[in-house]
Amino acid sequence: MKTNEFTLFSQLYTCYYHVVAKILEETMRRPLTRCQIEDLARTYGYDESVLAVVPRLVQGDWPFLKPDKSPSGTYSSALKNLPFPQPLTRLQKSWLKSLMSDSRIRLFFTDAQLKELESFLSDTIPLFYMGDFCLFDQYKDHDPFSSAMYREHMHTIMEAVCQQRFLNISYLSQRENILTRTWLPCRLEYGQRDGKFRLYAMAFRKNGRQRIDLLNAARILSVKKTDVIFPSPVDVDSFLDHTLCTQPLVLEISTKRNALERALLHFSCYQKKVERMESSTAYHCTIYYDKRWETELLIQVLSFGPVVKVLGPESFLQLMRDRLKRQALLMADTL
Amino acid sequence: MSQYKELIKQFDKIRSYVRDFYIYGFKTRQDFREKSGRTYDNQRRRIESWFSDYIRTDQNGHKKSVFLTLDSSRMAVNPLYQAWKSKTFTDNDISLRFLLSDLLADGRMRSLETIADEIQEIYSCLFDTQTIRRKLAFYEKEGLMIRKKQGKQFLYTRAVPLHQSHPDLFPALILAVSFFQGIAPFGFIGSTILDFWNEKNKYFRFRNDYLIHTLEDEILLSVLNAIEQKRWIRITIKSTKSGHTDTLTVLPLKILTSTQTGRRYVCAMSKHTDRFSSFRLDSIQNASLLEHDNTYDTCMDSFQKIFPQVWGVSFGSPQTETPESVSMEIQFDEKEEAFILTRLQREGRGGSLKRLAPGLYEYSRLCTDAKELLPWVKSFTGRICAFHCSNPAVERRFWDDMHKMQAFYMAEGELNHHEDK
Repeated sequence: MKTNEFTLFSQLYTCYYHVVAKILEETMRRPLTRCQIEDLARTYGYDESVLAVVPRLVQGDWPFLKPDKSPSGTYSSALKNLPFPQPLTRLQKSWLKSLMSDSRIRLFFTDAQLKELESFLSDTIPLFYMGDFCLFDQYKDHDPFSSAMYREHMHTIMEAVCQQRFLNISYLSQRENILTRTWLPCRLEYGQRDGKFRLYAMAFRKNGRQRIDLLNAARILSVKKTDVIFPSPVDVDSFLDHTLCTQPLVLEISTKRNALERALLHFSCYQKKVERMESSTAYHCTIYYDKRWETELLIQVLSFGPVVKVLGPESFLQLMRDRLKRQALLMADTL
Repeated sequence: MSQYKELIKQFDKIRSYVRDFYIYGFKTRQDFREKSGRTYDNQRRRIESWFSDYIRTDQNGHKKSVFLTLDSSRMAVNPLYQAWKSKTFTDNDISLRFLLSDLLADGRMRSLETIADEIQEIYSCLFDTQTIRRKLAFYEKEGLMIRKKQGKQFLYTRAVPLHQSHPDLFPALILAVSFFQGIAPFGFIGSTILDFWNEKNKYFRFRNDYLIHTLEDEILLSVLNAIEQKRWIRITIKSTKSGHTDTLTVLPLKILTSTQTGRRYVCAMSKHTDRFSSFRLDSIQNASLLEHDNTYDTCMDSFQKIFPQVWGVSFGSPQTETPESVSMEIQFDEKEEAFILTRLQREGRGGSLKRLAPGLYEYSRLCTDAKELLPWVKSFTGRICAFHCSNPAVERRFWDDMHKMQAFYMAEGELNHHEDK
């Protein structure tokens, strides 16, 4: 099969198939009532999927469930096998094959595993070639994906994240101090702009209180596994909620220079709300942002120049005024 | 009148609606005039259903706007992938998808007749053998079934799941797929792999992720096919500025992705102008493959030569024979604000950097279109001592913008005070 014969929009990946598979998985373990089946359809389907999926299943249009006599009102799977895991389609294998030329793939596998994966995909053609893409404005100082030490650290970190295992980490801080502590690695974040991995790791204070630290993976000097396992998964988001801004940024966006389209696409990664003003020549965009990245947002707003104006909050407005005052001084000096 | 369904037949029918609900969000029913109000109502209902967790509404008088809003850095999987999982199917499609997979999971090879008999016997379902044959052929083409010839007849079995054939690849492969579904092109395919394995992305998040790119994937695949086969394509473009539609014949060379602005382009040689141009992928409505080009490699060589002089995606106007030069002087405290130097070094895209005096650096670069540098230069507002450009219009635009911003953010007294100085 050539890549131009692939169909991306295919019934094979339909959400309803996944919903049915989840229901079958559960009904193989224990009989379910209609109500329980509806709950599963709500969890794994779209908002209205329950209306389309459940009647067809229980009425037998899709012949996968059989009504039980005892307990009555329940349904069991009519199939013999669990629906998961499923074999991969050619499209999925082709996508995997494309990843083999990405330098970051080595961060996930040992050499032996890579060899095995390569052999599995040996007769598969790649869906795309990394060389056909150019991230022309990505920062130059991305993480050293080809470094043996970096790769080893990432292997250890990923294993520990999955096992909820504490790690002893030596870390070179932004201020060039070496910190050596025990952290519980919880989550990895990747930034496409700078090509860097950041580790969200939990530190335990002496008083028992916990906090989440953010470690740059490339600044980790050494990692050692400990024998200590944390008993339950950590909800990282709940630790980050306090870093969200209390007052959102409000921008006025002009329609000049295609600013509206440019700005709304630029800020689309933030949670936002856009309102059209009565004049129809300006729009208000409210952005809910993380205070930790305020400077980055400030720089982005500055880059739009006068076609994007900050209306509030006062603290952000003050940051803009400070920059402009400093600029005015520099311009006065050069005149 | 056809009944409303959550699922759809064609992806391109919903693409622009999802984009408008996600990027703009302020549009009301009256703004969607290209199709009927009823079409809008159905598409809106679908979008509300697919993305229910992220849908918000805003009422302004009697006008209601529905929008899609989310913080991409908190997402484990791009919610817009849901749109790719909305393809319609028939009762036969889903029945045979599960029954064939279940029956053939034991790895035993069976003939078509045996399969039909066993489906009737085990699951009490009757399908004609033609229907089963067609489905088996489809699954074989898709890689889910294996067909072998024995004597005069074909035998079928299910492909072996990777967990069984290569258990040593797990859980590393789940982690890799969890990561790449968020950052690689065609990431939604990765999310379908997680679905097939009943897995979730538990450990990765993605900062500054432009989720909207997934909507362009059908166009992207056509363009990549043309690049691979060194063929021309005909593209229909709808301008994001004017809404005007145009059809062009181009030879695609590279996909240019901006990690800063969320825009993705195909860089191509235009047949009409015989020049390199970049076209927004999200503005391309459709792309069809044309003939092979024997001079493709020469064209690619020319692109590779000129591209280092391009700051973003613009190759300049036909009148520009020589590259334009840009220079700026940036002032900062070298001890306390070393990050400014880091910014200049890592974001400068091949420009040269010279230390003129302690705390004063000059950045300079040649480029095909200096206008493209302005957003980056303006991001240093508050530290720019000098800005020069060989294109006077660009230099004028920069200082004009600075004055406009000062007029907006600074009180009149402050402005006069600085000008007096």
